[in-house]
Amino acid sequence: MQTVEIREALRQAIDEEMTRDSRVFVLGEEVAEYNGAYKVTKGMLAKWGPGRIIDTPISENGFAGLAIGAAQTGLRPIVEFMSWNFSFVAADQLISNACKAHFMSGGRYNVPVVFRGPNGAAAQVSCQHSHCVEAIYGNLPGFIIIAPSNAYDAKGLLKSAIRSNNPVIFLENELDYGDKMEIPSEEYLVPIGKAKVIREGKHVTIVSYSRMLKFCKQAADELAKQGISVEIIDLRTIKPLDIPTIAASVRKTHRCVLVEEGHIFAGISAELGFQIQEHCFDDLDAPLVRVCQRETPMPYSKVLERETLPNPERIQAAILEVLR
Amino acid sequence: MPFSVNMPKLSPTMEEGTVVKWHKKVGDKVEANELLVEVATDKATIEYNALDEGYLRKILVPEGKSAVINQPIAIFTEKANESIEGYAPQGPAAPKTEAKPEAPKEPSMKPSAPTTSAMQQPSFAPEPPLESYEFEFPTSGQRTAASPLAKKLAKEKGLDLTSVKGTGPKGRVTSRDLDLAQPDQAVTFSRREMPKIAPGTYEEVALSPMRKVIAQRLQQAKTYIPHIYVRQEIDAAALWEAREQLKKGNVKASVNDFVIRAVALALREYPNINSGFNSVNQSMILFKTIDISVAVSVEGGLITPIIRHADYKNIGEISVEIKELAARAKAGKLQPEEYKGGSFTISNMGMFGVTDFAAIINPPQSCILAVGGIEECPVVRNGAVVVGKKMGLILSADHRVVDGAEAAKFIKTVQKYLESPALLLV
Amino acid sequence: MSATLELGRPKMKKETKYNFFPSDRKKVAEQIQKPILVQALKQMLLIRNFELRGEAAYQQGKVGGFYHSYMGQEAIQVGCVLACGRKHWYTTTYRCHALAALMGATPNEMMAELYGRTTGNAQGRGGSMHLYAEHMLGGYGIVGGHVPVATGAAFSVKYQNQKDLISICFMGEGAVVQGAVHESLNLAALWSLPCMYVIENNLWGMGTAVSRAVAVEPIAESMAKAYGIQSYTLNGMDFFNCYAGFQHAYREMLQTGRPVLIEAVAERFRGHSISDPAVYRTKEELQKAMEHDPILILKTTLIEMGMLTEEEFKELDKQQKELVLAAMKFAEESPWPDPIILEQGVFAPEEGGPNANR
Repeated sequence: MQTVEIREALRQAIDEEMTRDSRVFVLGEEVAEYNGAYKVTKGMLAKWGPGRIIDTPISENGFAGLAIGAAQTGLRPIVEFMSWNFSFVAADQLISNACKAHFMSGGRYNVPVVFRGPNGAAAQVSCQHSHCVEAIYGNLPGFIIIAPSNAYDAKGLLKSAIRSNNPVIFLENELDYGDKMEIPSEEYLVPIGKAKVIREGKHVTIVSYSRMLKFCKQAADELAKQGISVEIIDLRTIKPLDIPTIAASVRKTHRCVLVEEGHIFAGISAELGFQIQEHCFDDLDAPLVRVCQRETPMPYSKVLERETLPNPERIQAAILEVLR
Repeated sequence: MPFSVNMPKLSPTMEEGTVVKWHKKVGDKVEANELLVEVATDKATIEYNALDEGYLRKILVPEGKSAVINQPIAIFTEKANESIEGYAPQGPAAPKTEAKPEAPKEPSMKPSAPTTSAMQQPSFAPEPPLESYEFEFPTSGQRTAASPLAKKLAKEKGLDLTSVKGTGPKGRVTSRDLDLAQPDQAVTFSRREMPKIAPGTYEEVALSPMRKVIAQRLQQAKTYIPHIYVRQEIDAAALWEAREQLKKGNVKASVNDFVIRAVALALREYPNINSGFNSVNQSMILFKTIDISVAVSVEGGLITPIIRHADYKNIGEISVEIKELAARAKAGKLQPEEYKGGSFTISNMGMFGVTDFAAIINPPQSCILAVGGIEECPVVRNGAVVVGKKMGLILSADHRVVDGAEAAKFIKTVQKYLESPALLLV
Repeated sequence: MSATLELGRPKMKKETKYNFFPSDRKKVAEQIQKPILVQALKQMLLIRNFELRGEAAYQQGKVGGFYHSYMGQEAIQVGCVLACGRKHWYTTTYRCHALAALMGATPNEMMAELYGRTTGNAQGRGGSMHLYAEHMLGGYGIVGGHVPVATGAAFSVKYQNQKDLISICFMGEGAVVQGAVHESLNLAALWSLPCMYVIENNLWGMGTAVSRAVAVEPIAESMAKAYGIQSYTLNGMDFFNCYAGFQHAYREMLQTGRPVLIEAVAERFRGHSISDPAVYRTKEELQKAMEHDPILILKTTLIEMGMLTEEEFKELDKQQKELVLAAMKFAEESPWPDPIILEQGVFAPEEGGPNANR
């Protein structure tokens, strides 16, 4: 076993896959000589050289499209967006090309590319640097969307993503890169498309992913003191959605709270919630409750940022609400 | 080889076009790419060039007329003198064809099934049971808010949601509220059973032979005999007293035995009541003997054993005979001549305590006397109100044979005898 | 106070002076020799007939959506593919029927794709704008959006040390002003990616004259300087000039490994797409353009050089026409895709397949 931060787990995943397959390479801004804006690719230039760890100019559209072209012609690129906010510059490449090529070409060409980077809010980085993109790209058929919450899942899922023959949107979190966890030293994979019940409970199910799970756990710990038993599900993969795991849980607890960092309107909770009521309508003892980012661009001020994002207190209140 | 030029689709939304101008005329040689025709579309007037070279031989859609997409508008041939005879280009039909008005269908005046003879019964059949039925309770009209789970559980357990107090937000009934409404726990809430079968569910039972006969006879009697009814209350005090007196002599006569004797004697005074109607011959039957049919309830129905020459038998004899006949009737051991026939029928429901009732005539007889129970009632005796007894009789009579006046007089005679039972002694 | 903003050039159009790549028709013809020249003519005739009949099919309602005809520009892609060969990675815009045919897509499968049938080039999923072939990465709908993808193919051949391969990217002159194109040129120049960018300048971006859209002309010559790469300008109506220019550029790229920006100036004989009546061009302008019909130029040259007769030409044309008519029949008789397979094929299979994990 080894204790690693999430950034190190990700680095190990990339490194192992590059060892395994010479077609895998990394490109993005500051990934090589700077050792990565968030140090995920630290030391990799020294090991692999500039032919496989490639610093790009600030041309998201250009290098995302380049990666897509490379993927269609035999390579397996990993594209780092310094943050997912910058992916919007490359939106046309992602939306018109990456998730369309296999279908549009009648199965002739596929796009085995991983787009990865930190998603969501950091610390007071304000309106243009705090987007959660999963609901935006999630609306388009053809993407696999992954959002691990811990080092173990991060490594296992990134390896699976790199091995996938399809375009993957891999969402990390800047504030969590330093989170430590004990993970196996031997190679392992985490399957794409499987959620995980990380805590069993009786009274209510909470479904969330990525950084918000921390807050869910805190809220659940608090409420456990009041005798409320909360079951927590970590989605791990957002799309394809593991609805059977979620439905089984909701059928057991009859109440459900959905927590996401993204905005409330047409967010992931909206899709999740709909699918839950679709499959579990007769087992619901209360309406679904969701805790999301509120309907405003991310404000700069610390106080406002905290107010708009989900936090343990809002999640607790939501659980109590659903138990009413 | 002839070939056609069809109306081209000149814009993605175009559905039909109008020929504005033909730039070639019949007989012209047209080269590929030469301007052939101008077409007005929904958006603009567009010039259309010939695709293939050929000779224009016939214009199918002249200037000013419209054609739908792909409709042939001209016929060409590859060579100048080829025949186009018999060449029918394929394509959709011209637009805006007048829809031929459908000949209105005459409502078929089929003769309905031959009207049933007056003999045939109208049919009365039950409605089928309801497919579903929502048990609505007369509450204030408010929906009961209940979670889907609560609704599901309530349905499974046959619990009535409106009787359960909800502890969820806005009084919503949740599953935990149903837990409290379980029968094996201290019940705080009312529990009401829900019906399990749909409204209108029924079972159809075939008639037994006896019931078939009863049904047929009574149906016909009620339908075809013009019944009139005459009611008379009897002061039964004396009758009751007489009966009590008989008991002292160990004669256990029933009230009905007295009625039989009274009717028999009254029939002697009114022989026209001791009659019937022959519907075959459409004639009155005047019975010469007084044979009283007494309705006896047996298992599965009703039968009428006959006291023959009832006017010649005293109460005691009548009592013994009727008991014996009734017993054998109940055992199904009556001979046909013991229940077929009779000149007058008496039906007594006094043992059930009813005030009175009107019976159906037993044809071919013309009359039947229905006897109710003896009830206590206030009477005036010697200027004081004391407790008395009354008994209700109703005579049903066939008005083809018996007029109202006669029926009235007859029943008054019966009354006379019952109110002065001593008269029954002679 | 009212002022109107004068955007773009004033109404009087300045004639742009092009410095075409120097070539001698006869010399080039002698180098290429008759069989290849006849093949080139045949290919151009196939493309011309296909576009004509495809349009006719559209006008019968059999083809839907958009239809961008390549008529008039045949010399460019025919010249390029002949000069460079089919083993490279090719990418182009939605005006992609010609390239697909040149890269091995059969008229049958192309027409069936236009008709939306299951036997189509992309099983009816792509349509006119998204034709594919072996080594042809598509048919793309977003103006300029494919240029980074083509650049990625160049990256790929370099990464995999495929020294004799390049990536060839066709785009219109309207696309050069998209950000994606600038990012691509910068990346290719910065990293020395072997990408041949070919600007097919047919003078009109839909209804906008190139002088109202692009700040500097000639486009390739002006832009290439900014990126420090080589540029060439070709007469897009002249097959020989195209062939010579592409051949030269290709050989140079194999030597230098540097990207090249080529502008081929041509005329398209139709509107931007089938729904464009092209009222921005007068009939006379169109007539004049058609005098430079590349097929006419090639045919005339071949006849002059005794390599072809008028009858042979007619026969070739007829053959291509028959091929296309047969394709239309094939398409017409082909089955529609079964709706049950609608959601299949969105994802590539994870096990096996061409990119299966080693």
